[in-house]
Amino acid sequence: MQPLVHIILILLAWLICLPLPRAAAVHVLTVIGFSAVVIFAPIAAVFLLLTVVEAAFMVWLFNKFPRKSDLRQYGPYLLLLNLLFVDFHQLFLLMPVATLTISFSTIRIFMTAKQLLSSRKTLPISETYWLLPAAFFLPALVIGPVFSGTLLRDQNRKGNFEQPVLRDYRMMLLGFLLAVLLSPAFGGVSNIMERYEHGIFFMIWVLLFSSVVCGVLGAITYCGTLFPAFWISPTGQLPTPVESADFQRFLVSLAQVDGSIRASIHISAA
Amino acid sequence: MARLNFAPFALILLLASLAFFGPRGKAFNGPDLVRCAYELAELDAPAADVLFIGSSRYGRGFDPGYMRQQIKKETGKDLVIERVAMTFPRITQLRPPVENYLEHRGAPEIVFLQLMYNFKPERQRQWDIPVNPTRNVAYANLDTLLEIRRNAKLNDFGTALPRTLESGYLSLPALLLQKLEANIYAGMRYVPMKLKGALDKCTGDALHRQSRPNWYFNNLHDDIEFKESEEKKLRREKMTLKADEYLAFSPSDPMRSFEVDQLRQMAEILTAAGSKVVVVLLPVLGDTSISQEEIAEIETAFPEYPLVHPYGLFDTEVGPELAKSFADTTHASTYGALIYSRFFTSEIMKLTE
Repeated sequence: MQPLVHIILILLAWLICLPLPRAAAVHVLTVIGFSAVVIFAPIAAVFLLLTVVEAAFMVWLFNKFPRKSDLRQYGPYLLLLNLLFVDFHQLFLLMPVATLTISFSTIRIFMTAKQLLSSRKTLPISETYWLLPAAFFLPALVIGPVFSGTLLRDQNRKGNFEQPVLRDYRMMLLGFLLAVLLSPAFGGVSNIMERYEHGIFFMIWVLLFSSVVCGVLGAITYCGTLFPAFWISPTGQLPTPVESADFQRFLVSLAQVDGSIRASIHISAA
Repeated sequence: MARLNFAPFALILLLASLAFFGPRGKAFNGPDLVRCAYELAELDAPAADVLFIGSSRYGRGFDPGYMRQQIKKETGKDLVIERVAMTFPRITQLRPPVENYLEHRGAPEIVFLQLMYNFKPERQRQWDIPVNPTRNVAYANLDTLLEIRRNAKLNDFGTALPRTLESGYLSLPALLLQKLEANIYAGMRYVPMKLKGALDKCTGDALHRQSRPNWYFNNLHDDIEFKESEEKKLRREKMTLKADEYLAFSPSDPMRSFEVDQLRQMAEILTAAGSKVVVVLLPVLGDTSISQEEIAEIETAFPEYPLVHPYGLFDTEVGPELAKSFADTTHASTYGALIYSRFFTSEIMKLTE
């Protein structure tokens, strides 16, 4: 799935969200995310659904054990074995399949399961629903990041949804422009750079990554949701407001500081 | 701030405008030869008498302009000879321009359809996927894209799951989204490409050369002679070792079923439009003979279409030089192109007697 298609799908989600209550945004983004994976990587969609079922079963099973038990603490790590599908699926399917989002989503499913199992309160089984947004949250499909689905749940339950501000509009537009201008140029030269210039390759990859994240960050604010913080610890530590703000600032500055490089890339892309 | 709430509308409007106007400018991503192939197909002129449809081996293999002059000189007939060719021996990429050709210009009297096939072993496994390459998604109209997709029979490798689930195969919504994306990019590229003059390259001989400087149209002449320096000889010997590893066409091989089926579909479309189709097999470097078994295999796969091949030339006095007349492992050198031009000239004269 190309960055431009990603943005088109987010805009579609925004249109659907318009008449709906803001709390519906996360579910709309999940449904469209799932549809996108089915469209572009059907086997990955099935595999991720199986991973969600596996994680839900683990949560249900390990929840019966004491909170400090080894099984409850370390059992969910078994989910990480599913990451091997990306490298080894050809051995049993005898053909290559698109593995879009499997890595990011599997880690997000794992983090969600871990968070759910770390709860001190009795866990209703309905809470495992948040494994689905963790797997298929549309904005995070292509470029990540990893986070726990429980953060989307908490954001949704708080009810104080973000209102878009000028910065979101700028970020969305900037992300869109970068994604559509940088992505084809990057695709065109990536093979050469991969071979000879790892540094440049990495730099442009970061630029592309940051631009898409900017576009997505800006766009989903309109839907009424925000990205959870980037570097939440898989051991269960919740992100602090400072971390979240830092993450936002990091992305904005990454997109703004490199203006001159982008300008030259725009020209060459055109 | 209220107007900011509807800011995405501006973006949607921008994307919709680009998607609407983009295809009209034809500033799609990709080499000029593809745009020129489509422009040639939609030229405001009647169909050619003879049309060659093939890969870059056709583009560098002969000169339709030279052939026209030769025929005129020898028989007095002025036959219009054209060629629609593209880099990569992928037959599906030629289907949309050929269908456009038939629709806009009518059916040529004779079509020399190259038996295009993949010869590199490492890419055979996924040669049939995607059915519609990026060039098709960009330039072809939606009906043709869907028709090609619907009628594609993928090779059977005994996989556990249907190959339509394989990486690279485009589901219908993915195909539509890619088409939309290509249109948006075309809209964005239009102004810079227009300013660069990139959209005005498909005119005159350049159009018939499909804008490739090393393809031939009105640039071959009888004074070209065979010459090979010591350096080129060494290079050719190295290339021959590489070409030895290439796959043969072998239409009865199951791994060729997709290609054979696509070639047959192309031939059937042309025949239904009223053209006489002959199929052509071209040699690669180091491949100077064809066995009766190979000929029988091709004739079994394409029983309705006569086979034309230049392998007989290797047994004539130009044979030793022709065997060395390659610019690389597959494309003819200038001298080779001259010899093949003469060969096709005589084939056309035989067919139009």
